[in-house]
Amino acid sequence: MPVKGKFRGKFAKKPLIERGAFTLKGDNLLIFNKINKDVLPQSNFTVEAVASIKNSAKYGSIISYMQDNGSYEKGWLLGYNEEKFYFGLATGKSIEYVYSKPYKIKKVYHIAATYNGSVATLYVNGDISGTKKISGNIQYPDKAFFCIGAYKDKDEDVRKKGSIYTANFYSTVLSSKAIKKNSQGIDNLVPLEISFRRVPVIRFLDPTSAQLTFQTSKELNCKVELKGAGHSGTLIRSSGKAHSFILNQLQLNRHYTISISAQANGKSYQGRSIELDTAVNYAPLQVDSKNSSAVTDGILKQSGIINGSCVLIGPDSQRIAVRLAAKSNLSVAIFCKKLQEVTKLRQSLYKQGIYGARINVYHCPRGQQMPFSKNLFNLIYVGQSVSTKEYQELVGLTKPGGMLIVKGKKQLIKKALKGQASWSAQYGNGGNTAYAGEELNNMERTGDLKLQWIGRPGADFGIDRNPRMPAPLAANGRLFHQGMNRMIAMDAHNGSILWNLEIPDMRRVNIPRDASNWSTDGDTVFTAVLDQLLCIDAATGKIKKTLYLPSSSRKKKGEWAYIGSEKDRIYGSSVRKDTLYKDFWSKSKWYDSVKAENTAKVCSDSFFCYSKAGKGLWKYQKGLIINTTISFNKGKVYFIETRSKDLLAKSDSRISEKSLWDNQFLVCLNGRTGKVIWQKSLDVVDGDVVFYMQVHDAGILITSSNSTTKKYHLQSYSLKGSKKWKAQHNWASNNHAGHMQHPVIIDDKIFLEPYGYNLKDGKELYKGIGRREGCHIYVGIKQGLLFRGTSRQISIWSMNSKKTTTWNRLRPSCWLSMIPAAGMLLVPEGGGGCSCGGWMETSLGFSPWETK
Amino acid sequence: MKYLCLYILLTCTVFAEEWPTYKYDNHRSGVTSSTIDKELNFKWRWESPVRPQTAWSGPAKWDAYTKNTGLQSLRNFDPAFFVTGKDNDLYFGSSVDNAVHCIDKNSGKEKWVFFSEGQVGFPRTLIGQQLVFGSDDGCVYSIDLNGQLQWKYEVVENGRKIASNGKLISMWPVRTGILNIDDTVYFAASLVPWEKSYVCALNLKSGKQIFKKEHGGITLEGAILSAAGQLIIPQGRASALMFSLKNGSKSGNLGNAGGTFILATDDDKLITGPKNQKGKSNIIHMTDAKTKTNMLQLNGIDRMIIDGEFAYYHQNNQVRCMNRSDYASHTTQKAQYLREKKELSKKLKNNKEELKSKLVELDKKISVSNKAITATSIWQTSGKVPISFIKAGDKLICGLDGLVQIYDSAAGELLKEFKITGRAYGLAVWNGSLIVSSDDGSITCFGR
Repeated sequence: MPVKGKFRGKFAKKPLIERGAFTLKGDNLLIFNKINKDVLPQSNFTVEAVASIKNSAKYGSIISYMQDNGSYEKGWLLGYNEEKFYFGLATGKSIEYVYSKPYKIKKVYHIAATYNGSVATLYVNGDISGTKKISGNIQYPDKAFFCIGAYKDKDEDVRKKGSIYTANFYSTVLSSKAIKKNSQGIDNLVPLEISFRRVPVIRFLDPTSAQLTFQTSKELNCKVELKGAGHSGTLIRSSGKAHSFILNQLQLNRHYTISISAQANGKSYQGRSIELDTAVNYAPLQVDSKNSSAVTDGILKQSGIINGSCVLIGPDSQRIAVRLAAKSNLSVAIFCKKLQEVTKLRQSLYKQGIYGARINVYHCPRGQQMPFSKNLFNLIYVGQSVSTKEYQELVGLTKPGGMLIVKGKKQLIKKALKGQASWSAQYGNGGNTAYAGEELNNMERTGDLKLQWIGRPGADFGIDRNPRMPAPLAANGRLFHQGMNRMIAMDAHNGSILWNLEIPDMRRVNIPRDASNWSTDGDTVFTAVLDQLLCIDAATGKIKKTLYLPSSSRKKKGEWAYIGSEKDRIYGSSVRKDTLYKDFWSKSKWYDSVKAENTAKVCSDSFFCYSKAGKGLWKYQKGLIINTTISFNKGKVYFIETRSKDLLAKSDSRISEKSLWDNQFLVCLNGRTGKVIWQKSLDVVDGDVVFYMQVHDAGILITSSNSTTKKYHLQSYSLKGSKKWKAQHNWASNNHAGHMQHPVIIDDKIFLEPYGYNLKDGKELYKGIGRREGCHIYVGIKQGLLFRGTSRQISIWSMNSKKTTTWNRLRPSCWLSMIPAAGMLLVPEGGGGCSCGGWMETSLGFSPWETK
Repeated sequence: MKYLCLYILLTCTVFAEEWPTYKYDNHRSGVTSSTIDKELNFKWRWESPVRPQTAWSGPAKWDAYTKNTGLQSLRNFDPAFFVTGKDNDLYFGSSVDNAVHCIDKNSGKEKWVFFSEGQVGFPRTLIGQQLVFGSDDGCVYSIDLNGQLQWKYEVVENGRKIASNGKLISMWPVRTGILNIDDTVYFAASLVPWEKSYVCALNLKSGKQIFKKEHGGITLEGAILSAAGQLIIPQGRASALMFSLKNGSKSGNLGNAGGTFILATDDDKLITGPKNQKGKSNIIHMTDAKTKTNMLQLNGIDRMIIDGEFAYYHQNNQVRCMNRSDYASHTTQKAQYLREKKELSKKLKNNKEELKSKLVELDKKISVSNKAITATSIWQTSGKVPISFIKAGDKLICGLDGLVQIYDSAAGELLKEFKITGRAYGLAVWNGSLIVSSDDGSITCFGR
């Protein structure tokens, strides 16, 4: 029964009605001026809405009648904050709140709240989401505003961004059954959600176009609407299950909105709205070439190299260059000894409209050493014979894994650099040692490493430095880096952008409490997105295959959490839907505090294995596996799980309950079969702040950071799970990751700020490793540690000299954004967003092989 | 009456028929006495196959930790192909094809092109019959007006080249543009703060080195300028630095000046942007170049031009003009009163009566100052935020996203506007024509 009387509301501006909803962009509201405290009930009422939130807010409101100015708090409000819906009401001096579980941005919910004079109840989608005992009549302010779509009182006017489909106020308490019934109606109000068999992915094709692809679970007539510079609602259509849309005439440095919707069998489906930022369109200019060139085709066939940086020397370079640019994504450099020829070539290529953007000509006078960094080029082709000295020089310029083709000589594939390593997973490898074996040519000071490349991506690529994102990866001479729902592959030795993809559902943060969302074996980048695993070709960025969570009752409510690969196997784990950390906005999403909302561990309810061909091999399901402990080494998988029944029954997988530390088992599985090799009951110090496990050739290291003891507790076990030794020491600090550090295992040593321990017996080896400043973690090189050191800049600490050296004005992200791999120190941009300080905000590659 | 006199003075000035360097002069003032034709129409547009290849990427989208949005780029010194020109020739440097181009201003057709080995982020500086420019290849070039090389100076001989965004650049690119003072050209070669940087001076005619001063720990990038007898070079996300004209040694830093926007006034005041993105709103500082003391700060502004007594800027959705000297003196006076008020309150805290009477007196003075500050506003008119400003004769020209607007600089009346493509970062006027450089790589000419 609604409030008695007829009331007419007034919009602040002409309302925007989209898909049957009052769409709010933070600039509108509906206000009922004649509803006041005299017509509103003091108890026994229900307030209800079907709404979605586009941008969270500290104090967001859907429907309210309230005045709040400090100590004067009166009225009620059905609203939302940065994470949850809430129902607030004042019966005494201040407002009391009932909160829901976290909501999801842009998802449509039925939200209802009742107050019967003794209990306030909040419902989400027909289920009770929170209750609180509150008694007494509502204390109304003398004057307030009955508002829909905004919190408005005499002092404040905070307007909602999102949609409201319906809003009701009843001067009676609706029963749970009635609310359930009302909630079931939202399907009729809201278009059905498109079920994506493969998530939407956007790939830039050239400087003005991009391709959006996805697959739907069933055949749909899909429609994509493009809005932004030069597009006021361009429609593109596609039918079937596999959908592909070419987005043309995209302007540079602009923002576009792509809305996906569909129709089938008379029903409307809504996909999602995707923001596209063309500032990160790094796709090269496409070159047309009608001329054929057997040489070029031969080079491409012989080398298989289609992107990166290429050098041509010798006759016919222009024709070869144009053909190479047309048939590949290579940046082509022609080296010429004669200045006259240089000028002629430039003029000619300029007239063809391709000079500079794809092909450049450089003057390399005869007799002068070429002034380029060593290990720089993917492909060098010399169409003439060269002297032994020149040949050696060219070998030096070829990057590891790159190819040198010289007329009259056998083609050469440059060998890997001595001591170069791959960084294949979050902490370098399956064992999480934070050291992948990189020797950096035995260099141990920042001055020993020279800049080899610099450039994109910059700060506009990333999320921000704060929310502790997944680490970059590097293998087979490529560097992979994540940004704001996007990933990029770069050449590790010259920074060439090989490909980049926009994947709107990709983001994952708070990695100290979860597993990373990607890993690589060098050929494929395995990327977990929602319930899927995208197997992306490392060389081209093409999605080779999509794998799904194994069939189970949880399939539809699960997401792919852990991802690792070993030999011909892919390891994965599943968590319950909407569990993974994705929020990055505000100081609280720095994930530095010791509050449960920051430290809750993401735990997997199953662990499984696929072959790389995509065949399901085995599945393990018993307890809740703490994702930060999942490790593998030499065919064995290790993790810690709790078998506490109360936790197994939870509907989400972020665990902060005390019982996480009860009934724990350290488990070792056969990676090939999934069979339990051994399992041991475990009683280690609660790692409520962070909890890590690392596996190395000689054993297992479990590290707990505990907020009560304010210490790190290191616990060493053999590879068969027997206890070896323990050690502990105080946190460096309780902020800026001083309490969250991840140990580094380098050969026979363990480093955990500020100590170094002997791996075998836990005896202290070092006290006072290079002093960290700011919120990065340490990573290892053979002869020292890389970290955020002096003046919060990227630094190297040498084990030998025990001294720290630093790069001026370089900052990493707040977790792990620089990796030693490929014989280089790779620093893809991770510090952007830090709005104070003089940070360089660029991606860089440092070489320890250059002496000049 | 004062303003009428000024107007007459401006309109009587002999027109300059060139736009010789980045933002017109060594002060990077963006003010020319040359004016645009009354009948201004679209003449031609030159388009690059790809957008300008900026040296640095754009700024982060936000500081999520502090919830600070709309962060400014502090290193966008090369967002468009800035032009210089004289008579019927238009010159620009390209970050795409590493070349300097000469275009016939009447027809839009290319006359010649001169290639360097690296990107050319700043326009050539036109000095008599010479065009001098720096390149990412670590060299400074002088060419004649037919595009023939006169001399070339390499800062670090056969210095190491590294990869950058698909090209090969010097470890010491010249990204400051060129400054010419008394037939000496000044510039800097610099990239990253952990490598050496160089401040150099060459003889204009011969290209011979006068000095090459080595520095450490700095990154010199953005248009070099001169004020108070010193060189001033921005550093992007760090304080701008001052160097001796005599030998290139460091003579100070401008603590609150950052980004790449710096201009000098005739009376040696420096108008600068902030050195970091921390502020939630834009800020402009005015600093005395001689004493290096901060004079005042204006919030909500990120660009300004100064012509004599007058400052033109955008604030609170309005394009504005004020008498900047009066504004500076009244705000300084007001600040003095406020300081006195604070001191008095401490000093006379036990003598309430005397304090009260003196405070009343000071409040009156402050009120007078406030009125005087308000009165410094000459005009204000609703308008979008310009990306660039110049003043050409009696016209204020604003470059915006997709648009160029022309105002009467004396009255603030919007006289004309033209649609363009992209965002108008570069504006230049000579010989009656208006040239607009946009971030999509286009150069558009408006003229008779």
